[in-house]
Amino acid sequence: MGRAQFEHPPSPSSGLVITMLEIRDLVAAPARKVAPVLQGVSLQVGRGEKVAILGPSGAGKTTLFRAISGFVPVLSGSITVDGVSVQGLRGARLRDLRRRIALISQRHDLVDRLRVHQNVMAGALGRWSTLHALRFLLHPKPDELDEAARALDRVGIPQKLKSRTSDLSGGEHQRVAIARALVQHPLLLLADEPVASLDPELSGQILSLLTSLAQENGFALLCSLHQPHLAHQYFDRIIKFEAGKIQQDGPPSKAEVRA
Amino acid sequence: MTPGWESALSQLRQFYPPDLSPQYLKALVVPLLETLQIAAAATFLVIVFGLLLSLYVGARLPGARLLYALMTCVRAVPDLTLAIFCVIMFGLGKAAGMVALTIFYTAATGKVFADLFASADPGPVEALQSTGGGRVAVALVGLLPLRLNDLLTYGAYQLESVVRAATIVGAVGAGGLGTELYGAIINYEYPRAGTLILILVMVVAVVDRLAWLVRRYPKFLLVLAVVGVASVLMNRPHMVPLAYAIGRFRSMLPPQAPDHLERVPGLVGETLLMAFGGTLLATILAVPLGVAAARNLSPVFVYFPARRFLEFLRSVPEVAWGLVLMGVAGLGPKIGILALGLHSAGSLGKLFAESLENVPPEPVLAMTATGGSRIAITSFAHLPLAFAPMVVHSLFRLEWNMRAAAVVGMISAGGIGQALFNAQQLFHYREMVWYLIVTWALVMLTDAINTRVRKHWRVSEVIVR
Amino acid sequence: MTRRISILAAALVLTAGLHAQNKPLRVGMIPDAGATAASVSEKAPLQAYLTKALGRDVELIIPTNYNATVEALGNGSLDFAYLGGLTFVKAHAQFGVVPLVQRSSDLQFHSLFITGTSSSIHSLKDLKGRNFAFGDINSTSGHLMPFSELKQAGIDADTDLHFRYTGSHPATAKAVESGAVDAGALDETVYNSMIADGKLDKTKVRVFYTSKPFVDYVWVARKDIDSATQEKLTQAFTRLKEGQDDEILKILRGKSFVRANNQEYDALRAVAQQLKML
Repeated sequence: MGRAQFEHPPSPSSGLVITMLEIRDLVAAPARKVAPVLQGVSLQVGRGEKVAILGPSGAGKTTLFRAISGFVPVLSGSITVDGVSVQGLRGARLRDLRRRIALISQRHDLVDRLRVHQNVMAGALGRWSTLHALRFLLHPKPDELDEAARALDRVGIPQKLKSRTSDLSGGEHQRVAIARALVQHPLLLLADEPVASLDPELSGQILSLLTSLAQENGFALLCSLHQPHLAHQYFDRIIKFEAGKIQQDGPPSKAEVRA
Repeated sequence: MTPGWESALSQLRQFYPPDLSPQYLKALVVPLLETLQIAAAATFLVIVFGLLLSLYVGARLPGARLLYALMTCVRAVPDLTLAIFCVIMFGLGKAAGMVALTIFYTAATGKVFADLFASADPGPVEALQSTGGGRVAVALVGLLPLRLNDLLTYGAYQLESVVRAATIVGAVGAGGLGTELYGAIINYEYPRAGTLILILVMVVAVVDRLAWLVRRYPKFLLVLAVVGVASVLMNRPHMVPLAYAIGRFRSMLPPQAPDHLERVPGLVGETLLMAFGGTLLATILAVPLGVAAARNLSPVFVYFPARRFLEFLRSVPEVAWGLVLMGVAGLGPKIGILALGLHSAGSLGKLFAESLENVPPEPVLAMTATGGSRIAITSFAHLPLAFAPMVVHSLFRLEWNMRAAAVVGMISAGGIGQALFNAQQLFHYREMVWYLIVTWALVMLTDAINTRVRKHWRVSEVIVR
Repeated sequence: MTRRISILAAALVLTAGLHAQNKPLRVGMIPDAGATAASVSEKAPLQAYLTKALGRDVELIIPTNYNATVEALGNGSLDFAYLGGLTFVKAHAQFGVVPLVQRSSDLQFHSLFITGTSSSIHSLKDLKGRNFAFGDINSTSGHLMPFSELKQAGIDADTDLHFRYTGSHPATAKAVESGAVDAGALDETVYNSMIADGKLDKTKVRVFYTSKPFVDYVWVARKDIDSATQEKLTQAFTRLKEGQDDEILKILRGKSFVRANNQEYDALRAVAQQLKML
């Protein structure tokens, strides 16, 4: 078992991959009583794999992510995360699943009124008891602050530990969201348009951070984007999505990376 | 002898069973209609004038600051004092009730609406201004649509408050359910009070439904406006004894300091204690109650009873709470704290629940995605996200309680309010005006605190969602 | 659709308000536990009775505040009103209102001083330094007369007592019952009816002093009301007989009515003046 495996990320064709996420013929809608957006999606993602999902807005990328974390009902087909079927999970078992899937969105997903360390440690809510969570809000212990500081250090903003979240810049905001995901120790990280509201330079930084963390920690990364060149530059597999269906699935083409 | 909670509970138990005898229910039909009519009239006027004033302030027309200060000034006048002014000007009866309610709630609503407009997204407004539109046009086209939903929410809440406003309406003999409830509790007729609270809770539910209808089908606004205009016409004053009124008001000036000036600081202290204590108690109670009453946080078997309980809390006027709890708290400011606290908890709980229901969905989703428990998610996402509007509501309530402390002064709670009320009752009007100025200073002080706290917590942006 | 509903609504509300346009006589009465039971359920029979007796429309208005009632007599928005002794004296001084009629019991009214059953208070003198409750500051039996009796017994309420106004007679009774205050003074009829109705626990309170008799509640007319109408209202009340008009008498909490005059209030007026409450 070891890091060696992550240093040479497995390619989808290698056949040696431990499957982390498996989706079969998925049909799902963004809400109840709404026409389905996903029309028969099938894909497999292995441990440590870094996958970009490309497609215009409205293609169903967000719905796909929400279906994986059990936020929208599966109309037909199946989703399995680390061997556990997502459908029909409720209560504690659903929470147990969510604990292993970290979710980052384009912005607005931090709680502005909380301090940075509180937002970061929210990643631990899944393993903490309710009382523990409440106690942390009022009185964080040093080791908990240490953990938050370590996570922030890994995303490159250790100095922001006690800052107001509302004072963060766009890039810092995303780094905090990533730090929260790290605290969660996920098997799978879903990043939904994480760089949509950032300028090109910052976008590059955030994506390279995400991919290198996936490499180091061995979690599978599924990231939706709408800029092809970023996908080709940072990911080892690209899925093209359109109108709720997968159009193309494979390694990036060298031509587009250079473009 | 220590008065105990036991006796308070045994008092409350007497609200049940309510008096549902056919004779009493039949007798209540007329007051119910009176209440609805005066509420329709006053709400209509309040929304019209409140909008005009707030748009005037929002458009920063000349004198806007003065107008804003004037609204604070009017809000400082306690219910019963305002009632007297209106009786002097418009005679005893429904007209005085309508005018008193209109003046009071216009000042309150005008301020809230003005704050809403001030906190509106400046982008669209600036865009409009750059088209060269006049200030009034910009205010109408830019500000109104931006805040329409908030205005409707608050308008509905206002209508509900007017339905419940018992002290003003009762004092001027305008009748209605609130007055009857007040009378029932003052005479310790608890089964009847139970009946009245039931009816008031039902009326509030209907008002809620109406507000929902209007938001869904804005055309219904027209129906309401027509009912409003008709009700205003029916309640119009039949007499305006202007000469008498001028003479009467002149006799109130100049203000005269009371004989025992040395007692005033103590009275001010009592008022501050009641207003701060009551608001604090209300806020502490309203957080869990608001969570329980929020439709997105609690299951229906929790939020439904929680909402009815909040309606019960705010249906009972402050004074009436004081009378019910005399056995527990004894006399003095303690009773004021409890009375203001319980009634305000009913109002704040509702407003908190609405703030919690209106939090932005994205961060909540992100928190839920970490796999935390319901309570953990509520504490990490909903409560901090709703923090700003909750603080603003609490601060506004503090200002409200500063003058409501006067009303509970009537039943021994003390403070400047009681001194003011006593001076008024004894027809020592010049002294009354002096106390009025002190109350006004206190309300202004709260306003200043309000502004500072809002700046510190950076909560200037939201009022009502 | 919406327009049709609007028109219908307007028509409905307007027709409801258009009847009763010939100027009715306006009569004001306070739902004072000591004097009347003027809740909505009693309003209709009393209004019907007065309408019949006066031969014209009567509007019965029930304000909850004496202050407002007196102002309304001043500006003419009330024609008749029911006032307590002290409020009458004030209204007479300010606006020259005319006393018409009162219950025979109003001529011999008493205040009761009550305390907890087991308290050590047995006379007015024992009140020194104790917590004490008056009712409404404007009440004759709940404030003015008890204040004056205390003074005669050598107790100055301002310096010798810690007192508060509870706002009403029943509230005073409740404050004593619960022990929130050591003692209090209130209207005898309220005390008796609260005991009779079980609203006050008679094992918890006792009367330790009864005041000297004084004159209290009275029906008055605004001074510009013509004497014929004044007379009609007076007779409407003096005509009431036990066994025949029990429903009305019960609302007014009396047995029979007698004519009232201004002189009988001289003693009360003197006390009010002396205590600077006028």
